[in-house]
Amino acid sequence: MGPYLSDEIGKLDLSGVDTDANYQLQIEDADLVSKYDLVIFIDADAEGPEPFNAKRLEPEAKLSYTTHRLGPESVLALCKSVYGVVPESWLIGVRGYSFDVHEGLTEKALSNSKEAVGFIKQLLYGDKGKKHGNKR
Amino acid sequence: MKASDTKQKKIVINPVTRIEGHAKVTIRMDDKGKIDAARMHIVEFRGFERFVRGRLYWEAPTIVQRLCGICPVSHHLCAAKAMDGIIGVDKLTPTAEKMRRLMHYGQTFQSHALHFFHLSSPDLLLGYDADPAIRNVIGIALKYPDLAKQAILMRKYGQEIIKATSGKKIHGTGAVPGGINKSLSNEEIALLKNDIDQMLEWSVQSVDLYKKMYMDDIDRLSNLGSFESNFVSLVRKDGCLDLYDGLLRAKDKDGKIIFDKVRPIDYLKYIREGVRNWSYMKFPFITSLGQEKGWYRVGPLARVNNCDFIDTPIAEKQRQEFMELGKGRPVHSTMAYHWARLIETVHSAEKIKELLDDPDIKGKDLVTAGKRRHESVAIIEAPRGSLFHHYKVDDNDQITMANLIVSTTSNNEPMNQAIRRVAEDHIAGQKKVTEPVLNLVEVAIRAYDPCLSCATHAIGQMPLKVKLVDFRGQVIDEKVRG
Repeated sequence: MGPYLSDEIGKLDLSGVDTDANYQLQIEDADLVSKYDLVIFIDADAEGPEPFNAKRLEPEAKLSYTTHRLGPESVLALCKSVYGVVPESWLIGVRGYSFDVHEGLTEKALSNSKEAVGFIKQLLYGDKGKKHGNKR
Repeated sequence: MKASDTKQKKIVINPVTRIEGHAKVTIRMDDKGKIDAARMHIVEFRGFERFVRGRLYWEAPTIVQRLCGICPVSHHLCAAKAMDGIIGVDKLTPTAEKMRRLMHYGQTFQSHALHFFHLSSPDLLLGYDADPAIRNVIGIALKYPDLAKQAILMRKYGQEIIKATSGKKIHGTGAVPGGINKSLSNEEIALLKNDIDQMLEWSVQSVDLYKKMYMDDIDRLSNLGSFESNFVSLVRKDGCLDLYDGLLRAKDKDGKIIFDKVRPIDYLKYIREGVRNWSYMKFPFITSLGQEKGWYRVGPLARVNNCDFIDTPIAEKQRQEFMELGKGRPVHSTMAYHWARLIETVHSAEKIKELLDDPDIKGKDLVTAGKRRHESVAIIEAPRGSLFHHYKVDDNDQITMANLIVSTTSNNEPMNQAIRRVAEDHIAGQKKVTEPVLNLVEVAIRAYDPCLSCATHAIGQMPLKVKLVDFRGQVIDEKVRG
């Protein structure tokens, strides 16, 4: 879901918007997000509301027992401590339905992801068409 | 954990934190407070040897790297090396060999930097007894922001090397049976050259930082979780440290050779895998010594102890200084793993610099081929130690057998030994067991940088649960973290 949406948003070729699809978040992502004024983390959600859940993120040291990966809030906390900036950040959890090994998305997940793209465009440009998401 | 009496009881640390994957530690004491058993249980299960059966051999380098998100390059390259053997290739083109090496040094550089700064430095810089709520990478960033930034940029640089050589930062596809699928452009080389001097400088500063910490606290650190052991690693034909390729060497606790110049294909004559009924992880041992005496350590400490020299000047100078600790014998201190790891970080940076100046990495001769074989074994020195990949492939090009011995598996018995030593020194006979003391158990395990996702296969996650249970199984005390 995440890589699919990253691709879809990339194809829109929005000015000032970069996309990246990664296997897992890590400490170097603090460096990456520090360069933007708006950051949107997107992933599939196994149990959330349909079609998607949008949550504003704040920096928070939420570390799991295995710290070979970080959650988005921890990336923001690291960004704040090291770079002294916190970009406006959102977590979009797009509801998925089938998580077995197979290629492609289910029809319902595809439909949810299209609605998520609409919301993300609104986040990036706002109601008044204000461009957001520029690099610092 | 609350303080508790130590009448006959079992201490359970579940899961162990700041490692990759899920492990549980149990320490059992008798009624006199003496350590009866200290064990690390691996409660995950790995199915990759089974997953790859039936798959086509050229798929293996991309499939097996899914074992791990931190050292996928090691599995990618080791499987590719094994598949070189399957297609009858014993020597790659210079471009392919150097591109693979560059990928591997980038991987070692980022993995070692991530481990030291992210996983271990909270204990070392903030204190073993610091508040667990801040004893983490965020705590380091708050107290040492410059160091945290350095860690971020070192990890980022290693990932950029991986991306340039394999196409992606994680789970790339650069290595293929018989070679590589890309070389570097002038633009890529220029970009990577921009930062390499800074990376090398920071690497040297890191090893100097840890060296000072170790020497300032040598009585405590040299004993923490320490014991004597055999060591196994690859070395180059001439005895030089080599992380990418070579022949197997084993030394005993006194530094005497047990076996040397063993070709990967012959590993089963020298190494066996034992099992215990309380762990999913196997217990490899040196066949000639048997399971009780033949267990061995792998990884940075083993490699620096086993090699005769390092072929990069700064790392070699650091190695010589390091070896003085052993006074003519191998260095056995568990906490010396960090020191050796940082020497390898310097070595990796030096090698990256050397390779970025080598015109072969721009070459166009990427792949070679030979006469098809049905069985192949490859060994690579992954960041955590020797990694073995053994495959059999049939005439339909399908894999019929796979056996992986990952570094964390080789370090299984050593980690159990480290736990026992910490338990004997800090828990046995004590009336109270505190959180900082329990953290010392984890500190000793973390020194080995275990990757249990590789050693088994991680699925899901569990909260930290510490239980104090008496010998009848009754819970005396319990605390849940996270």
